[in-house]
Amino acid sequence: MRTSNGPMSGIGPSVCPVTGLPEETDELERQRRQKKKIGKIMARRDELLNDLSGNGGAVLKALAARMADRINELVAQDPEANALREIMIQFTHEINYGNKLAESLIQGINVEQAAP
Amino acid sequence: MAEGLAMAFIEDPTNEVRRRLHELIREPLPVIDDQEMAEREDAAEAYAGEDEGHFVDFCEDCVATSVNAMLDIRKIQKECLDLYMEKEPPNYAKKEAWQSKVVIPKPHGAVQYAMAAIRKAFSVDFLSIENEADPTAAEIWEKLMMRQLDKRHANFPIAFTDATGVSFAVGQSLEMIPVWRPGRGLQYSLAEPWKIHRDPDALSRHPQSGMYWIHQEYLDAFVLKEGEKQGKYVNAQQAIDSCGEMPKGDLMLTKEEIARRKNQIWRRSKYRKAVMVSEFWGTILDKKGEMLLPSATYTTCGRKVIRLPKKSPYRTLRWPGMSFSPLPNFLRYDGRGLLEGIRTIWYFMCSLLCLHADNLNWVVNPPTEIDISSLVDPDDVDNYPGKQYLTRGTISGQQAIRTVERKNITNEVLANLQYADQNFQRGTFVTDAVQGLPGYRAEITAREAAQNLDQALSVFGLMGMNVEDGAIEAISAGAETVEINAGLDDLSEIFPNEVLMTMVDETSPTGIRLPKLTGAYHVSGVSAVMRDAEVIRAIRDTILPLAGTPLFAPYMKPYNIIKSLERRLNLKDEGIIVDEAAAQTVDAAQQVAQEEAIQIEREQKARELLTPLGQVPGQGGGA
Repeated sequence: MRTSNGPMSGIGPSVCPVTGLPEETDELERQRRQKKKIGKIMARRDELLNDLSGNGGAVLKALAARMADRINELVAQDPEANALREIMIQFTHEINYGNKLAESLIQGINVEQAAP
Repeated sequence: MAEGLAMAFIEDPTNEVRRRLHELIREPLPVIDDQEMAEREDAAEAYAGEDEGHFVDFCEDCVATSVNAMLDIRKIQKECLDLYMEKEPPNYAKKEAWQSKVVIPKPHGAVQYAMAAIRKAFSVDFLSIENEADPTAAEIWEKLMMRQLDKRHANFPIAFTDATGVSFAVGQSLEMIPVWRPGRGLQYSLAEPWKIHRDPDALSRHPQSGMYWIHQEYLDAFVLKEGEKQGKYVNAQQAIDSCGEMPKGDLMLTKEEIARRKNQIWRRSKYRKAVMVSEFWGTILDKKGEMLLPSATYTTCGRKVIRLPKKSPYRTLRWPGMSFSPLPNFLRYDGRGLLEGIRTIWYFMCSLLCLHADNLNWVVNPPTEIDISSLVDPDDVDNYPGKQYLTRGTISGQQAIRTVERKNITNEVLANLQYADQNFQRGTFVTDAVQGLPGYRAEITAREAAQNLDQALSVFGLMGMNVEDGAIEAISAGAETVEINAGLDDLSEIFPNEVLMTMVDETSPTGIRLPKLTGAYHVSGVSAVMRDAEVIRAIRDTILPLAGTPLFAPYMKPYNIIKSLERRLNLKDEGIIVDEAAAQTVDAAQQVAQEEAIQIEREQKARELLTPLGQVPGQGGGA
C-alpha cells in the first residue's frame, strides 16, 4: 500500500471561490440560526401583546387618546351635551370628558384582565 | 493570412522546443544527494515533532499569501462560474414581483460547444510516445498509459473534457490530481482551481513552477480517522479536536482570525462532520526563512501536523496536481476563458429582453381610458371580456371606453439584441458558423460560409494547442504516479509473461521496475482534428477532381488516397477498405489493364498512320 505517499484522495464539498467556505450551510449553524430566528419572533410577539393589552401599553394609550378626542368632538357637536357642559363649567371648571371616559375604559379593561 | 492559417495546421516543431524549454524553466532545485536528502527529511520530521506549530503557521502563511494575491482573480472566476450556470444577473434581486426575470441561455451553450470540440478530439488513440534511443521502452509506456487512461481506469477523455470545460468557463481548468487506487489503478481527482493555493510567483503555463502548491479540502472526520488506521495520517483525533479551537488567554486574535478558526469545521448533516485539511507540497522553510526541505510534502488539520514532512515521492514532480488555461495570461499562472469578456454584454442582453417583456405587458394588455361622464352608471367601471356598458353617447362621438395604445418597439429591441449577440459571439469565439447555424445574413454563399468557419475555427486551433499542453502535463503526472505505484498484478493484463519477467525487481517497493520514463509525449487533440479536416478538404476539393482527368490520373495512387481518408475519418474499424496485400493485387491488375489499354491504343494509332488517306481503317486495301 503505497497510497500513503500520494496526495489526498478525497474531494470535499464545493466551496465559494472568494470566501473558500462551503456553498451549503453548516447544519449546526443552520439549526442555531433557526432557533435564534424563532426566539426573535416569539420575543416580538410578547412585546406586541404587551403593547396592546399590558399595563401602560403604548398602543392602548394611543387608542385611548384618539377615543378621548372623538368623545370631546361628539360632545361638542351635541347641543344637549354642550348645554350641560356649559352649566358644569359655570359651576366648576373645564372638564375633559373624553379623557376621563377613556381612562375609566382602560381601568375597566385592566380589571377584566386581572379577574380569574 | 492564408499562409499563416495553413502554418497552424502543419506539424509544428516549435511545440517540441517549447516543451523542452518548459522542462528547463521548471524551478531549479538545489542539488542534494540522496544521503543529504535523507538527513534533511529526518531533521524535518524531528522538527515537526518538536515544533509542529511552525509547520502549521508556515502552511497557513503560504495559503494567506496566495489567497490575498488571487482575490481579484477569484472574484472574476466566481462571476464567470455564475455566468456559466446562467444564474440571474445580480441586479435582478431588486426587481418588483411583476417585472420579468428573463435569462438568455447563451453562456452555458458557448462553453458546451467548445467542450464538444475537445471531447471529439480525444476520442481514440490520442496518445503516442516516441523514444528513438529506446523504442521498446516507449512502446511499453504507450501501451501501459493507454490502458491506465482508458474508460475502466482514469477515463482520461472525460476527466480532461470536464477539466477543460471549467477552463473555458472561468479561465483556469480543474486541478487534475492523479491518484493511485489499489485494484483500480490510475484515477484523476478533479479539484476546483480555488481549492489550490499556488505560489503567486508561479509562471504562466508552468504548473510545476513557484515555491509551493497547497490543496485545501473539507474532509470528513471519519476519513481522517480511517487514514490514521491505514498509516497515512497521525494524531487524527487531536487534529479534529483542535479545529475551531481558540488559544486560551490570547486576547489578541482579530475578528477575521476567530472567524477563520471557526470555519475549520463544517457539518454537512447531523452525523457528518468535516474538517479543513491542508496538504502542502513544495519548499519548506524554517522560522528564519532557511530551507529545510526543497521538495517535500506534509499535511495539517486544525493546529496539528497529521502527516509528517517527507520528500516528494515522485521522480521529477514537485507536486502531483496541474491545471491549464485555454488562453493563458502572459504574466501570471492563471488565464482567461470564453466568458470573461462577455459578462456585461450578457447582463445587457438579459436586461434588454426583460424591459421588452415588461413593455409587452402594456402592449398586449393595454390600459383602458373610461369617460365616466358618458356612462349611464358611472360607478360601473369593472372591465372583463364581453362586458356591456350603457353609455349616453358623447358630443364629439368619441368612445366612452377606449384603449391607450403604445408604440410596439419589438423591431428596435430585436435589432439591439442582434447587435449585442454579434458581440457576444465575437467575445466567446463561438460564432454561428462554429455552431453550424445560418447566421444573421440571409444571402451568403457556401464559399463564404466555409471561409467564415475556417476563420472562426482558427482560434479554436490555438486554444486546442494550449489545452493539449495541459493534457501532456496531466498524462506525464499520471505516468509518474503509475511508475511509483503499479505492481505486477496491474501489468499482468497488459503484457505477456516474458515481458513481465524482465521487469521483476524485488528491491523495488512495487516489486517491478518499469523502463525509464523518457521520450516525447504527443497528444492528438484539437489541432490534429483540425489538421485532419484540412487534409480531407484538400483531398475532396483538389485531389479527387484531378484524379478524374486523364492528364493527372496516372500520377495518383488511389489506395493511398483512400487510406488517408480512412485514417482521418476514423473508419478503420469499419472494414470498408481492403488491406495492403489486396490493394497490391488490385494495383498490379490495374497496372496490367492500363498497360494493355495503352498497348491497344498505340496499335490503333499505328494502324491509323499506316492507313492511306481516303480509306477507312480496318477495311483493308481490297477493291
